[in-house]
Amino acid sequence: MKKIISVLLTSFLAVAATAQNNVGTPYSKYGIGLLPENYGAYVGMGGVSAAMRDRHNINYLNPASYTALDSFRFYFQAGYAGEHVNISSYYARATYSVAQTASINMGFRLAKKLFASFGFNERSDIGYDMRFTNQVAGDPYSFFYQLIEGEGGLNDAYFGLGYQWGKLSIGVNASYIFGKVEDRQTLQPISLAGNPINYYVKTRTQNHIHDVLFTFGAQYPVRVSESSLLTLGGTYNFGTYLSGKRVFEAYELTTSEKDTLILREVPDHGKIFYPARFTLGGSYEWNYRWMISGDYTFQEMKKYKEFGEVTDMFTNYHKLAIGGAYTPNGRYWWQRNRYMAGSYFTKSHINLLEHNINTFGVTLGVQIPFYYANQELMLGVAADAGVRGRQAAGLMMEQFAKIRLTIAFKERWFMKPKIF
Amino acid sequence: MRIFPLLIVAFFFLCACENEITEIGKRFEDNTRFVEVKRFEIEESSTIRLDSFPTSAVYDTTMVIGKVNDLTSGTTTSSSYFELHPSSTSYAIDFSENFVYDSLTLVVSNAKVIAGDTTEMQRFYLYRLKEVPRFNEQWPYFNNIDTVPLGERVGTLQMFPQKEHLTSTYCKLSDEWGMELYGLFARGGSMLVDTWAFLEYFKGFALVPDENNSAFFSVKSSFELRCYYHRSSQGSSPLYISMSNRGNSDLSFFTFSHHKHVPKPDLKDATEKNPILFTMLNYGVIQGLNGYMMKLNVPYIQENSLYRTIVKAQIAIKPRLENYENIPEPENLYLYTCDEFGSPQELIASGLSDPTMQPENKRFIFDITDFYKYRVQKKPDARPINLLVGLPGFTIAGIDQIRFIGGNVNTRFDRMIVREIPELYIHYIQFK
Repeated sequence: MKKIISVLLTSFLAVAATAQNNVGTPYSKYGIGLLPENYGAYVGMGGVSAAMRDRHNINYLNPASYTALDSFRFYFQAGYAGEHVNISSYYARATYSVAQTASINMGFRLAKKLFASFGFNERSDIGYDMRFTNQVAGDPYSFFYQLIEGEGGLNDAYFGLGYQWGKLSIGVNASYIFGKVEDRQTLQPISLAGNPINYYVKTRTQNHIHDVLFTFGAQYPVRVSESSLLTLGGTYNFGTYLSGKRVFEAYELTTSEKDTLILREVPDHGKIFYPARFTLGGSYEWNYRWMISGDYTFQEMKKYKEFGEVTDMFTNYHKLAIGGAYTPNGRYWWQRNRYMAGSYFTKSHINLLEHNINTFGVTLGVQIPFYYANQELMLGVAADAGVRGRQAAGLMMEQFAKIRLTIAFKERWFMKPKIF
Repeated sequence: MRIFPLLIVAFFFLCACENEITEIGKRFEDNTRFVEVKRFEIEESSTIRLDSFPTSAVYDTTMVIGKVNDLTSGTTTSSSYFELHPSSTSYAIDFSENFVYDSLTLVVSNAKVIAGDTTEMQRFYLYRLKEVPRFNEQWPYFNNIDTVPLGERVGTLQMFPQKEHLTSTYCKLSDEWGMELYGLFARGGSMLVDTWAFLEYFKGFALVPDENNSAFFSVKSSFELRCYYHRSSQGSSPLYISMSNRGNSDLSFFTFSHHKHVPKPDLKDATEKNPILFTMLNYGVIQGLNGYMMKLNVPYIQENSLYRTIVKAQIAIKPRLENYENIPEPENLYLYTCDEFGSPQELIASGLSDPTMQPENKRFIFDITDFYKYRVQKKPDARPINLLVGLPGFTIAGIDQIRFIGGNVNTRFDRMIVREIPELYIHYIQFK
């Protein structure tokens, strides 16, 4: 009973945390927001996932990896991420800090070679607060405040299956993508004395998005020698239309009267096209101690569409990730840990002022196992430091430092103590 | 399971989030199309002259006297009419002693030059009125069209309009009338007790500027007349009996001005009902004492787009910068509504000089957002939007609810010559 309560408590905290602050980067303003650049079970290795499979982690980014889980255990895994970002342009500087639940995953065996996982992941993130003072068109002496705010993002509640067929493992995740993307804008002219004037306008656009997305995965391990293993893997999701409902409202506000709704459009029901995405990669494990892995991810974000409109500032998404791990396998506790390092480079889908918003990051991590009578627990800590964007051409550079905590434990199920 | 407390602490630590509002991102955000100002020339702008406005000092503590020949608007002359009454203490004087009459002097206090040439001696003549002005008791104001016949001249006031001479000025009255008045006090009698009887005898004074005067003075509206006398014995200090119009909230004591105006040919036909178009004169005039105001027929601009709304409406008035005549420009202006006949109705806005502008682009801005939005957006009403621009003041309802403008129109000679056609600025927000 205690175990069930603990699981429920952790799940509750995790779900509650999803309501916490979103990211705070203006780069998240576009489309469905900022796509996660380094996530999954192997953040410490640059976020590699395609060919990663082991019995300690639920690698939900490739459903074929579920077949590597222990057959007699139930897995619970939760990831929390904290981030501090320093944003700078050549004329201004700001910071934001944010904490989020990145994922909650569970995994177990369903049948002899059939494994399942379900859980909740973050698919994209939106959060920004910007206030500008702009010149009014037609009057060089008049100005107005423009406050742009946004929040939301897409979430992914999935159920996945992995099946092992000989050496080949295949799998599929059926994800229910859902979420709300909200943009708010306040436009407020300024009086001669520099104070906001009586009348101003606030608008709110909400996109409610939901639909099912299938992600297919495969992994193929090849024994190269007695002590070395090469694994190839990949995932793919087809371009998918997600159902959307867009609601636009505009309010006129005064300092003396209540807000007045001046326009509420009839909700617009349409589709958001989430383009095809694939990841290909390989990993090489040697002597049960050393591992190296690499991934390439591509998503055809040029074809992203919202309610039939193509966003011309989007370009295709590319990501390269590479990571390594070392497990000493000694008798002391620190020799049983797994030490990881990695790096990744993302050419994001956002193209502003004819420049791609690229991200480069380096990662370090450690996974620390704890063993109990009927349980195993793995505490993962990973650090990710990097740079997104650049200051040139009127853009901005974000220097970020992230900490990700992963707690994964597995219980023995389907076993009964032997009675003598 | 011992790891859970650590996890929870870490969770709450990470949740201490803060996002700064930032100007970053301005360069790649489209921020040019949301707020736009459109300018509309108010082509039907014209100069009018009020047919009448209150000139009583009932609500004013100052009055204006003087004369200026303004090269733009014409000649304006301002005279003061007032009556005085002995104070109650004068009844207690015991004239059984041997008193001797000295002089009769009018005291004019706190004179300040408000416009005109300050290098010339200014003369004013004090007249007794021929008859007591008659007022409608329900409407105590006297306007600037009627006049009251003057009687005998009883004194001359000369002022050199420099600061040091103007704190209190004195006008000696003729001894002939002074001794008559002194005799009245000496004899006593019912006239000193019965205010109305005294006023019927006295009738009132008028202080009228000389034809050659060149300045306007603001003076305290409470005048005082002193009848000086002394004991016949040598060395005794002078005494005086005071007459004043203090307590002028009692309407039986009148104090009003008469503003006579001889306009320049350009403006001679201007009335409330006959505005002179800006485009004909190539200027407009706003001025006190003579009642010039600008009438604006503001364009009715209705916005048809669903995604645009008016958030600010302003009227801009640009004054002529050159001023060679020692006539001050008003520090601010007021905007009044007016009916189709040009009569003022209600005050809706005040306008200050726009501090953001360079002196050469000086303009006065009126914010009429509430008024304009009400007329154009909230309760669309296609009737002409007529407004009057004038000196600061207020509107009051007279007989039959006819409204008048009071305030600086009666107490200031400030003038603004408008050099460009007034403009209407409408700020639109394009919110989608």
